[in-house]
Amino acid sequence: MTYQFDCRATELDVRQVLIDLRAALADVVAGDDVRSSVEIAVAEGLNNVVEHSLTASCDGRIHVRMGVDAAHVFVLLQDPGAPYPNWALPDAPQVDLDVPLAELPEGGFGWGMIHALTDRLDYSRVSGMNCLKMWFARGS
Amino acid sequence: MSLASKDIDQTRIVHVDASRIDAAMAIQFKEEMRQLTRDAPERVVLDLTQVDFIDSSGLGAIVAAMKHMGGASRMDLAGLSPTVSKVFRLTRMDTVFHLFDTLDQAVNARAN
Repeated sequence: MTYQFDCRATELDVRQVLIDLRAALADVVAGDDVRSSVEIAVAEGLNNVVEHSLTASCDGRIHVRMGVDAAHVFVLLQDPGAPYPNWALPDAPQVDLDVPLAELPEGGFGWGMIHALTDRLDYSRVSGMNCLKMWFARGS
Repeated sequence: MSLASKDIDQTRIVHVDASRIDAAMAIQFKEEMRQLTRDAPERVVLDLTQVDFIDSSGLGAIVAAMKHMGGASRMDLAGLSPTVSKVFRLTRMDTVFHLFDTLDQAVNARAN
């Protein structure tokens, strides 16, 4: 099964894609756990595109393709925006929570969650498009 | 999105009447939380029973709301859905906030 979505690079458009994605997942994937993992990681990936690579001033659209087979859910996020920094997949940053209240972080959580939730992650830049690929293992 | 609050003894319950706290409304959420937690009693319980999704922006807005109270009040969270709980666990923010499965449990909990 393959599903495709696309949207403008705005937070409200991304929200609608995530709602549609959740509905599609509910149809084909039985496990709540993998469904929530896909939803969270894709949300973070899309938010990253809106914030950093393809801003709302561009006409370009974000494409999302989701494939489901027996072993994995696969998601491709594609956008024509600026390359990811250093043309590379961002690492999961170290986040220190053992700090005074006033120093608690309010951001920087996204890539850590994407790395933690995916079985495999890949970034490439092809013909002016960012391609972020995520694989989520189904069942255990 | 709307927030509503009521005080019970020394606890202010802030009820989030929205299904998502995400990038599209994180700033608005932060602003409204600032208003509602002004002069809060010693404990604020954020009731997330209606919320079935938060992203890292939503999490950041919740952290910001707690920081804004400056330690004068503690903030506990109640009614987290499995997806929302997962975000707190992944980011280890479940070590920063007290999390309660239901609002009733949060209200009935004794302070440490």
